[in-house]
Amino acid sequence: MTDTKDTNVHFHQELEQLERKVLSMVDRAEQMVAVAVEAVTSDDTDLAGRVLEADVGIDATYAEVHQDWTSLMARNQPLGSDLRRMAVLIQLNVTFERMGDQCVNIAKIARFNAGLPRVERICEQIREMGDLVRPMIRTAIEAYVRGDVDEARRLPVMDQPVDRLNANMYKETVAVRDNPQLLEWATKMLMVSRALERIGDQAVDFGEQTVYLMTGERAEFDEDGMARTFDDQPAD
Amino acid sequence: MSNETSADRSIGDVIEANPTTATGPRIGSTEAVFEPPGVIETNEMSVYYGAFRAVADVSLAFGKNQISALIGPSGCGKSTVLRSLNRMNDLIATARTEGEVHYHGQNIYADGVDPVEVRRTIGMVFQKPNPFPKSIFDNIAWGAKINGFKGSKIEMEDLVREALESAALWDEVKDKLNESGYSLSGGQQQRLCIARAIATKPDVILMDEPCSALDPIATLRIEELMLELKEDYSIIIVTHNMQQAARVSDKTAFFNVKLNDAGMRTGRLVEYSPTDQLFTSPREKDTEDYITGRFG
Amino acid sequence: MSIEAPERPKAPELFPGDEEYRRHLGGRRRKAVIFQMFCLAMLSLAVLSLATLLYTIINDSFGLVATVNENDPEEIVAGLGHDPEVTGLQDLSHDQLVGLLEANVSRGVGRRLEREQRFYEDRLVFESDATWAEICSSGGSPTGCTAGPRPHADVLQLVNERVVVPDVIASYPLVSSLLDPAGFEQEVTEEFEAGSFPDHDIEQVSIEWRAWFNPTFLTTPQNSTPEVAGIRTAILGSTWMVAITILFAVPVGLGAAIYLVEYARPTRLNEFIQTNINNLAGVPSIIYGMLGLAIFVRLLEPVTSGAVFTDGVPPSDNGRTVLAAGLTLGLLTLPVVIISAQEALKAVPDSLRHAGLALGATRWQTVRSQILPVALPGILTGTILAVARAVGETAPLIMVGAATFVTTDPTGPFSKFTALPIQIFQWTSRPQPEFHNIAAAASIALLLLLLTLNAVAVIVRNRYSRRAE
Repeated sequence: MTDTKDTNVHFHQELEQLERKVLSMVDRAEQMVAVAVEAVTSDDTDLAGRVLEADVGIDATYAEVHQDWTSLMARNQPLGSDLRRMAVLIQLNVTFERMGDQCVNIAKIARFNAGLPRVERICEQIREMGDLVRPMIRTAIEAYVRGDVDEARRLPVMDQPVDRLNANMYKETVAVRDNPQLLEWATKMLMVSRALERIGDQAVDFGEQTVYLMTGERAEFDEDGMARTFDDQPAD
Repeated sequence: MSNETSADRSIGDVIEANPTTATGPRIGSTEAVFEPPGVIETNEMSVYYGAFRAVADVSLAFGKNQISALIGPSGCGKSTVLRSLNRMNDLIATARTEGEVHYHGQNIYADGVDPVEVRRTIGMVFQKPNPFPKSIFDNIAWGAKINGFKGSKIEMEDLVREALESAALWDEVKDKLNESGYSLSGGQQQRLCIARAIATKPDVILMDEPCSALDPIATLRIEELMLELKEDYSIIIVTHNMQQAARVSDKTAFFNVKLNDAGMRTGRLVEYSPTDQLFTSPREKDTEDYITGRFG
Repeated sequence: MSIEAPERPKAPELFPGDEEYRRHLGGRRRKAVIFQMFCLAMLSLAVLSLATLLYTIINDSFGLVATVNENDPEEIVAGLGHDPEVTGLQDLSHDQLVGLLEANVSRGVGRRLEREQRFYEDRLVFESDATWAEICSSGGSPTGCTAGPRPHADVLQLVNERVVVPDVIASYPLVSSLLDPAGFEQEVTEEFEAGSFPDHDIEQVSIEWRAWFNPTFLTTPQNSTPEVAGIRTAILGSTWMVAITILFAVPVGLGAAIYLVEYARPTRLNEFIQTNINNLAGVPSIIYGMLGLAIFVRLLEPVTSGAVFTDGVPPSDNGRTVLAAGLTLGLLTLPVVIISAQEALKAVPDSLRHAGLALGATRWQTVRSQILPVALPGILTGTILAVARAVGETAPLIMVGAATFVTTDPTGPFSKFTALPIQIFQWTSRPQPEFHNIAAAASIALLLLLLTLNAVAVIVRNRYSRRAE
């Protein structure tokens, strides 16, 4: 938009600020995932504590963003892509706050599981899930910032191994059912797996929001990564 | 959906049990709206003031019993287009219209068409309320009289009351019908002008920025009135207030003005879409730039 | 690129500091006061000029006079009987007055007076019926044949003029009369001693206060004797002319103005017409007089003399009638009426026209019902002011032939006539000082008439603009 002058500069500046705040949340959330996975697989309660601290910040930012969003909406009556961006931002606010909550769940389990005997296989799988989910978050951020719809459409595909690993975790848990202590530990790790799988879904949702922002169409990504509009026809 | 909690599931059940959502086109859908034939249609219409081409090649169909809004920056020709719909441009000596304007299929610019007749069925309300310097009663009765009203005095009184009731003004003025039209507030005067326009039983009502001289409360009352009048009349409104167009209209036309090679600023129709679509996901970049304020 | 703004709101070098500012302000104030004083001085000059005019007029209209009556009115009245009700000539009956005339004027003068205007409806005083019938049936019959009998005031004036024969031998201006009445008496005595009045005896002189401008002055007709002359004929003449002027100029002017404002498109022809109308408003009035002479008096003589309207003898033997004068003045005021009506119509906001037309009205319906009522006060004001100007016009009337000596009242559009400004002009050009007195009195009458017309215009404008509120 280099050939048009912006006459709505203040609003657009404030909108950008709001956006940066929201994106900072997801940035922090991504780091929290790394730390939480490490905490729960390395039995490190200090790291778990750091995750819990970081979540306080995310919750505070969530409240701020909500306030700023409402104020911006009341003072300006955004239309067009500005309106869509506002709609997207308020949803992302919730989504990233939830990501933080999932990390908190993982951190709490790390504390709960402290000192318990571990199954290395399970820890490896958890670490692998973490290594799959964090790039998803990065991809989602980049797709949003660049407005790249195609990049956003890669996310459901990236989510598939995460879902598979989550499904597999049940089998691993069942495998240690004869050892009550391990079982306790493994059951908790199952919940960690589920938390990571949810974080992956939230990244996919992030991608859907990006597509809406850029095209104005609401789409639900199915397993094949195709956007499905509500009249059950593929968008492409 | 995976990962449904018990709370999610019950909400989903509720929604499924009450499929009242999702009728009509979705936001951002490019699905065509069913278009009944328009009550007024313009066909490649251009308006010139002398050699200056104010607006070019406008083709629009305005729907019956709908409110259609014309928006755009100043100088884009939206008022010119509105005035050409009831041949009020004829009053400007240098104005010339090319192309056609069809009212129920009949070209109102054809040879032999009397503009006086056109204006009886296509009425107009102006930006600044302009009641006649007569009593409230006479303001409304005059339009009927000069068009050859044949009824008795009682029938005239009924006509006046009907018009004032339709304009949501009756209760406020029923005890002072003989007072001057100027004794009313700005918002009341504008409603009086609306009552005056509908007293001649027009088919279409054109409104040229009807609320721009009014305070917000008066504006809202007139907007409410428009939504009520929609049932009996077709309304076309020019407004520079995008939120107003968004609130009241069914379809919105966006006009833009560009400097062409000859240095002339000619207005053109850029986009004509259902209102909710135009204001959330417009098809044209120019429209998007205008409604987000990224406009020169 | 932006310029870094300094801390202070304005750069110190560009605006004066406090000290300098105050000095500068002092200079500005002085200049303002000088300008104000200058304008006040100009206003004073204007007021002074007007005051001088008024002073001159009023000074000459009132004051002490030295009168000699040939026959003392009191003696005359006493000679007619001892009725205590009768105190002066004005209380005598019509018959008594006519009797006095019969007794005191020569038969020839009496016949001339009767031919000018009769004394009785049903009988003749100085003529025999046979002679009267004869002179009335021939062409060029005198005005007395068709005019009604003389009113009471007329006959009284005749008695005054012919029987009492007052002669004002000297008059004194108002201010001097108030400040130094004795000086007047002395002056008159000196004049007598110097032998300025050989025909009169100083014993007969009475010094009395005289208001040259008085109600009788307004109701008595023109006369060659200044002591008894009045301006009734002139006022009636002016009134008739103004009526004809209005009847001609207003419909024509209003119609033209409505067409030019509401209907005419901006073509070259219409602009040409408009320019010409604007210019005509400034044409000297004597040109209109020449036009009136050529067209109304000469070319249209059958119309202005009334010949086309009557089968037999035309009411007037030439075109120099009230009708011709009224039409000439009408032409004179026409451009002004058109322009002021145009202004009044243009002042009506276009929004009213648009509102009317948008309802499906024709242009005429809109103009008649919405525009004209709103423009009416302006049109009325402009018309009244234009007419007020016409009332005071002298030059065109002279050219069209306002008779300077007409003693009978105008009875219709085809009468001979005179007018107030003409009368004033004629009297001022006479050498006798008494004529200057009555000229001044007539000027007061004219000024009062103009004042009334202007006041009416202001009242009309105020009343209508209050109603529109």
